[in-house]
Amino acid sequence: MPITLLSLDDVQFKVDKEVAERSILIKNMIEDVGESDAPIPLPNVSSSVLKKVIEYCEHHRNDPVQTQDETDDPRKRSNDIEEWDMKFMMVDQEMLFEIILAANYLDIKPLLDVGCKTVANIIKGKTPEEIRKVFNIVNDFTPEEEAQIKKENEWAEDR
Amino acid sequence: MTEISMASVGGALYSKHNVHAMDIPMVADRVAMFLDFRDISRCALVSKQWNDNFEPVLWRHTTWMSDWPERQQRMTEAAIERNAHHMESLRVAQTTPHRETLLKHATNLKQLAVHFHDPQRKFPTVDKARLIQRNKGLVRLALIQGWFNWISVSPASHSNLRHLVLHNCQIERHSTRPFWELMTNLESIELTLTAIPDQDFNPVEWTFSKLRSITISRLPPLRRWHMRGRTFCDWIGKCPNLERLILRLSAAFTIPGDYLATVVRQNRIPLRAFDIGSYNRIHMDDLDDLMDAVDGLREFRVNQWMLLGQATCNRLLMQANTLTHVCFRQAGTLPIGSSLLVPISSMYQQQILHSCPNLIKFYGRILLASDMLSSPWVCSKLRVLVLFIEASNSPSHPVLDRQIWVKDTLKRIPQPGSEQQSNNNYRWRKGNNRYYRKRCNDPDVRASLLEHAAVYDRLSRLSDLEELDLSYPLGFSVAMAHKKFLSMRFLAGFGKLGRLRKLRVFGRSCLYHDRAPTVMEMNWIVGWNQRQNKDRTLQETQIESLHRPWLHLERLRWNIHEQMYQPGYRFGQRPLWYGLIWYEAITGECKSFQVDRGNFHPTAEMYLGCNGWQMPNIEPESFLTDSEIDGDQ
Repeated sequence: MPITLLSLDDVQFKVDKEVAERSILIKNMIEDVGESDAPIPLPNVSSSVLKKVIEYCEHHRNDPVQTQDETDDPRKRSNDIEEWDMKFMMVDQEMLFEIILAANYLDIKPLLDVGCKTVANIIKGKTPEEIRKVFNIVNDFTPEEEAQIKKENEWAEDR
Repeated sequence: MTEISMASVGGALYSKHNVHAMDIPMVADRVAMFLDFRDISRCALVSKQWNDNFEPVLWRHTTWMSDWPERQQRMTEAAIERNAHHMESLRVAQTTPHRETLLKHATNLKQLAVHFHDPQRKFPTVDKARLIQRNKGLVRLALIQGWFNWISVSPASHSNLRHLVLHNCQIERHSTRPFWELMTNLESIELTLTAIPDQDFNPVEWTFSKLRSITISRLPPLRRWHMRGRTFCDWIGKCPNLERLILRLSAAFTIPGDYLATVVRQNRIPLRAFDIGSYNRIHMDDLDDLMDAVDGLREFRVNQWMLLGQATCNRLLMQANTLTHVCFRQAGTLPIGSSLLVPISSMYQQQILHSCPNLIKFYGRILLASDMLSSPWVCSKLRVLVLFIEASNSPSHPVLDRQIWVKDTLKRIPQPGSEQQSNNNYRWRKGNNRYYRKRCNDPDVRASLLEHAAVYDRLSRLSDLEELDLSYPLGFSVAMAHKKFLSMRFLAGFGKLGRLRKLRVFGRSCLYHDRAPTVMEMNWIVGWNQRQNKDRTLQETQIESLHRPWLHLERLRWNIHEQMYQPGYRFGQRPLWYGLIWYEAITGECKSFQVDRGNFHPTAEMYLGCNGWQMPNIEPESFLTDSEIDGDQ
């Protein structure tokens, strides 16, 4: 049975239940409320982003549900992104972060991971100044503060 | 419906226009998972908001860094004071720099490992009781060496504590009760105890309802252990949710297997994994009994010499659908009418490989290639595979042919002190080489190599494989003359094994190829002989091409199995010397490098830092010159 999703700007999307349930949030909602024809409002997601997210879920509808053991250990994680996902993530920065936020809100772990990997790949190997430039962030440290933190975190730099 | 969904949205994590995704700590956390420490430390310098998000991540698991002690030297006291409360895991030893500051300010630890080993008593003792008391949120605690007064830790004070590791620890008489009490709250324990009060080994008055995993590697020799075996089983009976039972106890400890089976059955203990140690500590029939009491077995391990009958193997096969780990290392069987324990038959093992679809780890013994090829493999999920593959008519068949081969070889060894030996031992070696060559032209040997190649082809289809150990028994060096043929197949396989991280192989030829790009840890066993050692120019030309393929190699262990039956063999050092020249080229990223001088000098081990390159401490005079070698031949 198809499910209707309602975006922030009141655009309705009809998707298969299987696709919608890639989102744990929606899955739980359906479980809590039972099936109904009423559209599910997602007041945090705009239609352009929701369209992207649904595109992702459609493509990954048959993936096995992620059961990998959650590990914080950075050494055990791989940064590889599938080719399709890589293409999917070729969007402007605003959209990229919108997708991450939506994935976070809708609780779609694999999509969140792909988004975060993409951001991580952007950050990798860059100096703080370059990171600020890429993400358009204002440096609000005083030079003294910055020097102090730099000194304190020196151990994390490779020699 | 609308109301409910709106309510769940109430705690929304963001609103479109005033929060940036990277400012949400959870998102920053997730991004940091895919960054290394250097990148995280740079992120912490971007802005105040980013600093708030990334600084905790940077400190949270610093002890996971492989070069943690070295980095810790570079930390400043002030930095630790300010940030230690972010740390969630910590390893301290007596020698850890800034130890006091770390211990004082790390108060939110979830994982703590304290290593007390300080035989010379050079360092002030760690006040571990206070340290542990300060960290109320501990989930995992590991104490290595030393004793600890358990009175200061209780289920009430450390309600989150779930995992306890005690290695070489003692339990004091007055603190056994608190120790057992603490255990009622734990999910897993790993014990290597050196002392426990005899009369207090009596945990039957508690119920350990949360305990799911017990690993015991050593228990102190209690008086009347044979009486304690039942008490031990009773303890197991008090763990109604126990899933893993790993016992690697000394031979003095005998488990009354029939009683254990009864206990498991009566208490309906959901045992899924067990490893009942070594030296026939449990009788074969009792083991069968125990396996009947277990349903849905996932892990089955046998260590040391342990008898396994056909009945046990049949029981294993009945659980084929659930089995994920099988370890037959050192398992043996007693064939009918024989008093000689032989390694577990290849037939039993291949049945496992051919019928367990969920197998993840398999530690086999010797498998015949023909058995492995007899039917299609179902174990497509295998991640760890450790095997000796033998061709059925291999010259080095361990049980049949190898005995003869060894006998044959021993005959050729000159007696120590004889004239033959003092003149040279080349005659023997030359004869031996001729022997090799003769064997390799043998159609049987060729057929066996073909069988091997077919097995390698199948291996290369196990796309999830992360760890592969194909180290052969020593006698296999006969096939080395066909190394080109074998290496071709290695080459074909490695390219496809995209997840391979750990590799242990016999023979050096595979190193020539650039198709093992993901391997991080390599154990390379070399069966060296003089003839191969001579083509040095070949080795040198390969150095350039060796640079790229091993970029990920972090640990290399080089294990030289020299001609073990050859007394007074002075050339042992030569391969080492040339080897070092290679390794400088191979191991650009390599952090650890170890050379085991195989059977020849069992104690000689060398650890070399590959980045700060050091020559081994060998007198140059002890190397023979080229002319000496050539002249001799």
